[in-house]
Amino acid sequence: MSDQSTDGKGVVLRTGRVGTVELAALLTVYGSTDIFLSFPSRLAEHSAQGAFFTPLLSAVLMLAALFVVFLLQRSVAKRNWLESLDETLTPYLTMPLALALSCYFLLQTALNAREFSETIITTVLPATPTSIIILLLLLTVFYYAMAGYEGLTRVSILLGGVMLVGLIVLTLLPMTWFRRELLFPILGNGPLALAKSGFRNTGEFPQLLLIMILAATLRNHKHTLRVGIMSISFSAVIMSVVLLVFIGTFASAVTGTVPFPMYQLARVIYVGRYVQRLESVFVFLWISAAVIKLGFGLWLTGYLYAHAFRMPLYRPLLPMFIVLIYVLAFLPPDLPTVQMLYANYFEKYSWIVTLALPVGLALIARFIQWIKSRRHRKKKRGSGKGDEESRESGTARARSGFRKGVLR
Amino acid sequence: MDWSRFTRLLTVDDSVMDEAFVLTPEDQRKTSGKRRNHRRDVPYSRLRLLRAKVNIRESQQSANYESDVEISDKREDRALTSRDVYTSERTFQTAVRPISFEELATRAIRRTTGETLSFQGPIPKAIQYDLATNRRILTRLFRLPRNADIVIRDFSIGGDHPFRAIAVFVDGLADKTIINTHILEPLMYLTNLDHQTPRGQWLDHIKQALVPGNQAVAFKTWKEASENILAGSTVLFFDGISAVLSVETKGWEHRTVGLSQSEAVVRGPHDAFTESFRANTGLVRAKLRSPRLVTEMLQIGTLASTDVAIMYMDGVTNPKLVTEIKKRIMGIEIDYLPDSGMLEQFLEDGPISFFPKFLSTERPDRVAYGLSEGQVAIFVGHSTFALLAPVLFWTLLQTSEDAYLRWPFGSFIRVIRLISLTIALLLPSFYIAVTNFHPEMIPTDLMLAIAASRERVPFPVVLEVVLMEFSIELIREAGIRIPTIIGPTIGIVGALILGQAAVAAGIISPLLIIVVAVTALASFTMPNYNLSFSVRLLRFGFIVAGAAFGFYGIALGLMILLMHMVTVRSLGVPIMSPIAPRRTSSPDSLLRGKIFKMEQRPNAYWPLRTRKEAEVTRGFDPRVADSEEAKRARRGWGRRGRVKK
Repeated sequence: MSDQSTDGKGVVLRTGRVGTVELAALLTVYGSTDIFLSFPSRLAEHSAQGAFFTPLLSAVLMLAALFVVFLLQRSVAKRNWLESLDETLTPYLTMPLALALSCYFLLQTALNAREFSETIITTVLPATPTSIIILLLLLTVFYYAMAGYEGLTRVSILLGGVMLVGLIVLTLLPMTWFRRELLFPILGNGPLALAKSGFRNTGEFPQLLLIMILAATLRNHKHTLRVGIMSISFSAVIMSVVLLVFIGTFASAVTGTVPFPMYQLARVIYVGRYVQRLESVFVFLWISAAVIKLGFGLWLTGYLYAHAFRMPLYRPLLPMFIVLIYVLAFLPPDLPTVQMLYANYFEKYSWIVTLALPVGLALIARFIQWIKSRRHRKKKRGSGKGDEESRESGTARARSGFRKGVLR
Repeated sequence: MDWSRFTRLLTVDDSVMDEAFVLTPEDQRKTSGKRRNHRRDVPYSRLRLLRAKVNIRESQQSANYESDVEISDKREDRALTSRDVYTSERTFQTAVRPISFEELATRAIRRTTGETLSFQGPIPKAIQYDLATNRRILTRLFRLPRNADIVIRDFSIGGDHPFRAIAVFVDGLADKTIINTHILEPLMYLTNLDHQTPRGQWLDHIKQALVPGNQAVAFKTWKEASENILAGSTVLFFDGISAVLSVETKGWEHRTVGLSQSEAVVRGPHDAFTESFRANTGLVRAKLRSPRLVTEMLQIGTLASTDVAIMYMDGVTNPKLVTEIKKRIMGIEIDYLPDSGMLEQFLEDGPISFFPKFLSTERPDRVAYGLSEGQVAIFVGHSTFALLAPVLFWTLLQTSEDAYLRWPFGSFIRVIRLISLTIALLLPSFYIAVTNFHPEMIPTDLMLAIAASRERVPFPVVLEVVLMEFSIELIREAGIRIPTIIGPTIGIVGALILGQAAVAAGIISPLLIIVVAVTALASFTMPNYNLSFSVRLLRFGFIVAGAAFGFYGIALGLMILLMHMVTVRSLGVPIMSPIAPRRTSSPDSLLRGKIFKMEQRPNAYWPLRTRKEAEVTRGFDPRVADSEEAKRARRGWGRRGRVKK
């Protein structure tokens, strides 16, 4: 078990340790699950034919941010980012930050839960009340969050391959309807609009933020950067390919109006008499992805909340949060309101959380470290300590995460 | 014919009813509640300890005499301490009850002649000096003369000055021929002991020179003596020696090594474990001839002890696994442990789980292979199933035959089994979901065929499925319980006639018969009995989920099951390893890899030696012939560069 002490007073949050591929699988599933919802339709509405470029552009931006953060703070690769911030900033600043992040994941999970349950009602069980659907979903999600982080990564790696094969099948089989001319003009509303959309869409890539929080749980810290690159790239490629098939099959104008394009894509499959209408495959893929995403969202909410208030455990918080999610999910009166909330708030401003916050805080932390080390050097020169003392202070610097060659 | 019983029944007498044995809570109150469950008798033993005096003799050893046990022959009267007591159990009724005058007189006569039936007071730990005392302790310990199968044979050891001895054994457990020819005959007729030698040295002499049994061990405690008697050995008590000699005479009747019943294969060995503890461990040792193979013995049971053997490969198996198993076994306090199935339940990690955490197998070759992979084997008493732990989920889906076949065929049958698992688990629920909730999700022709077949059926599809599944379970259970001769007949009657009749009567649709039959067939392909139980039970859960919420319910159920599976551990090892979590391993999980690529042991067991094959084992193969390893292999070099002798 990984012991992540938040300070020297022995507050410990146990999560367990995971492997490189497991964490990459979890983050990929978490990042790319939105393609089963109305996200592709909103993206097609904004970027028209060039929508399939958007995730690629966003991924490039996120990868650049990832490198910048790792360049600024090497300790990110092996330490919990919030713990590092506790040292460089003060716990009084990281507490509201962790609380804000917890609220962010709570709201996102609640909206996702509602959207998923509405999708189930629309596509699979039209006669069942929403409350029953969402209750069942949240009970499963609760079990997932209770089972913990290790369990989530293991299910992700088990289902990751199955989901990938399913997605390939779902994107290849509708090829009978695919028309290349629907992809043109390939840049959609123009390069500027595309770039803008790409930047805005970085909110769909929370991998950078999550890696910074979860780096300490990796067994091999040398692979932290690799996890980030893998998860961001895979998510981007999955989103892009699916969008490409959508636009080539339905045309961007139609895709923008379809509430669940992936479901529509599964419905149009017709390859001979017996391979047709593979919604059932879609339902299994979609529910499994939803459960993992919501389960991880709930787990993050509990974990960050416990971190904010220096609690040694997060599991006792989960029942409270699941009730909150249930209540919050019912606040929007209908599916269009949920989609509107998502488009107007989450998609518009998520980049602040997923991109600006990690990069900005890494810059600030690096700056503070630089100032501290400068002050330390000045002091040392002023006091004129002997060789032995300077060696000791050198060890102290090394311990505080100071590295040669970074911003010097 | 005894008419008295019949006439008694016709008599108007309430005592007729009293004769019937009825075990009621009221009966239990007659005996003290404390005494019934009080295993150790602590307060009683302390009281009696103060009063009891026994003959305890200290050892009187000559300086040059060496024996494997310390033998006492000096008498000392002192009070027993709790350390000296083997058991302070009270075998006879303690309450004062009236006895007849005849019985009182008989007792008095016996007392005057020195013929006391039972040893009074707590039984000491050490074997006593006097043969008479030892005999009384034996009488008390083994509930003689009520206990009919304990034999005490008095005899005199020959010579000019014969002295008394007794041989104790269990009739039916010990081989009488060995007793006669290897114990009694040499001691009674062929012996001439030097009377001048101190008796303390006689035991060693008897052991070394007079008893020709293949295993003879001296003990000086009652615990060891009684355990050996009950294990089939013959224990010899000698007058004037405070130690016993246990001669191995095990020879009870047991089934010979037979064919495997539940894990039959076409290719591979057919022998299976039998109801003999030593034969079972021997079968494994015969296959895995290595000095590294260690068999550690433990005993479980306070009322009656059962041997438990822990077998592992020293230097291969992770010692933490062995320590953990031993710790868990030694923590079990139970009166009696009859089978490995019960031990499994005591040892498993998460008792609230559907999946087995131990691989119970009756095949010695499977145990031998598991040991070589780094697993630990557990044998329990005369159980015909050994346990292997830790176990991976994929192992439960494999048979030993997979390894004996070439890799394409091994992989093929594994794929078939995986598909069978899916069918056995999900097909009925899938059928319900499709017909009840999602008819549009299947091709139109198939949907019409299903609708046509269900046209005459008056029941909802859920009821149909549950009825048929229940019938299948009945047939399966009946097939196991009824005698082998009529078993197949019941199968035919149940499966064919019942199914046919149900369809003809319009109760069940023909398509459902196919669904249920395929499901049953698929569940029969599960190679592990415990896993097939899990699948049978989970199937009903999925039927309920599918009936209530269609694909949505099934998908959620599957997700819960998956999460449960990835978090279940077998002796600390996640059962879904090496896939979730990922661990390095040879290609031997879902499919069967090529035998020469199985270079590593499953890392999930954390074995001390991970490599089990050289990198190049087929040096003659042109594809690797140029490599250094191949050249070394052709020259007959081992993988570490040493010459193979």
